[in-house]
Amino acid sequence: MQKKASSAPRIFFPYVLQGTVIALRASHEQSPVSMKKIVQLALGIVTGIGGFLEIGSVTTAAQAGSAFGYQLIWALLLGIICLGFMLEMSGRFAAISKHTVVEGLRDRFGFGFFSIVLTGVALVVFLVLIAEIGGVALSIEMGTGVGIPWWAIPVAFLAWLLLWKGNLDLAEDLPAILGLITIFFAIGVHRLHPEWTDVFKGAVPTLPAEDKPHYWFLAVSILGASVSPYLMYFYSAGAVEEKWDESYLPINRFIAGIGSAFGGLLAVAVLIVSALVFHTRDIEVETFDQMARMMKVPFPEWGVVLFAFALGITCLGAAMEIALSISYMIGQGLGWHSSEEGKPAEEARFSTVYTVILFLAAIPIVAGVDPIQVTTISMALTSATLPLAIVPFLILMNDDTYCGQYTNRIVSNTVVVIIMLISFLLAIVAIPLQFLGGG
Amino acid sequence: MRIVRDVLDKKLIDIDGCEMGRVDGIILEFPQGKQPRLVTLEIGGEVLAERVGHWLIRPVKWLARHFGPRREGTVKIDWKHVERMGRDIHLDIAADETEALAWEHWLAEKFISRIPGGT
Repeated sequence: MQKKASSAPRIFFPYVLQGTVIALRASHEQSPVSMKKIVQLALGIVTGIGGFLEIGSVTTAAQAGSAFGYQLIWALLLGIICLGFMLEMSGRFAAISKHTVVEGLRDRFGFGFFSIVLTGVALVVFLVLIAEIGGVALSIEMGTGVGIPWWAIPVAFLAWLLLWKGNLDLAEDLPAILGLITIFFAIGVHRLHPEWTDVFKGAVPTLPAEDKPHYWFLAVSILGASVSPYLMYFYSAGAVEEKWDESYLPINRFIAGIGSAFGGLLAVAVLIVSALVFHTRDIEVETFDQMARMMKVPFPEWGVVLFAFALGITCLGAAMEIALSISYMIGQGLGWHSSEEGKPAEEARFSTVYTVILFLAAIPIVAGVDPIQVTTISMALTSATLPLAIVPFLILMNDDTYCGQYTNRIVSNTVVVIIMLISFLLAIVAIPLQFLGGG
Repeated sequence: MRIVRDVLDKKLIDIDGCEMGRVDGIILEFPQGKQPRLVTLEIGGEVLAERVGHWLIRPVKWLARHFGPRREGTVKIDWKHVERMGRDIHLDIAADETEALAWEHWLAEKFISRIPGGT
């Protein structure tokens, strides 16, 4: 059997793909789409939130809602649009070139430049991984009362075990099914009856009356939390593994759009709940306990538990996804092989990387680093380093030796460049302001 | 063929379809009075370190000497083994005829297979 470079980490988006592809194929053959397939499709789309609704998005959306009401919804919308376009591109790249984005970067730009991009992206993503492990630990702390540092190693071990056992079905289905719980954010919004005209006004950027540096800093963090470069690497790796070709392009567009919109709108829901609960009472959210308690308003009995559970599951999913993504970045960049069904020993270098990475990322949390602080810093840094990941990616997407006749059209290029510039410029202005201004 | 564009950094696939690394370096020969010839492809951290910067060569060499499988320098593959080229470079030899997978085997044997569930 042939061994493939990029064995599928079919945990999140690739799972979306699977579900959708199966459902569409079934309807194409005019056979009835079974209930199971519909459930799979639904699960797959929900799983899209694995990349969106994790500690970064939840924290930044809750902070934004409490501090500025609906005023920062536009930043989330920009994030959704940008992520949707980028995922579509990475799926298209994989379908046409039969290579992942990371492989393209090494191929096209050579090792010198590749190593700069790899180092930059991997370091920032590693910070995000620390935050996600902290997020799971936090959620367990909420449930047990036992401090965060105690949970970091068990959490890293759990994430590692799910990857190590190599049972992809388990690793896919567990976070997918349990991740459905995040829909309760949307139900929460429904129960609180927001004034929808006010919500829609937030889709247009406006300046706040006071505390402008904080406003811009939150906008930067929201963008960073939404558009994480590792998602495109992950998505393209899954598409190569599923052996996509041209015929998958329409499906790709559908999944990229729906996946990011679904996760993104749930983040908007978090923002709305936070705005209704805190902003109206003039409270600014600083801790996770506060964020959890906001869910008590729409769900008096279960709010806190549901919040902790949703956070724990999505952060665990994101942690696994990131650990795999870093392994793919290094492995694909250096041309290692790894096989989809392979046991860890058959992809020894690859499994070594995620093993080491997961436990390294647990150390700062054990040492008592505050997950919220790591989150804030890593989201802002993601925004600031977006051009590093996006510019070479766009060059690849416009290179017909990779994308044939399916190179980027002017719309995709323009949208992504504009959003990237906005988040980069905001980042270099807002980050220093935030820290000089005493945060 | 353009050597840097079409050869350097491309993925190497062995005769069984197994990935065996990327072309990290190339060795050219300049025979007197003749065209320069591409003779060898190289795989290995030392070559990569040279490409990143001179400051990196010594630490990488030191690490390679003291840790891991301690293979002899870089893996060298004769150009005559290149079967066909495209986005990837396909070879007519098996990866295990070279030392390309030395690290892979070393990690598998020393660590990964000793953890329950590893094999």
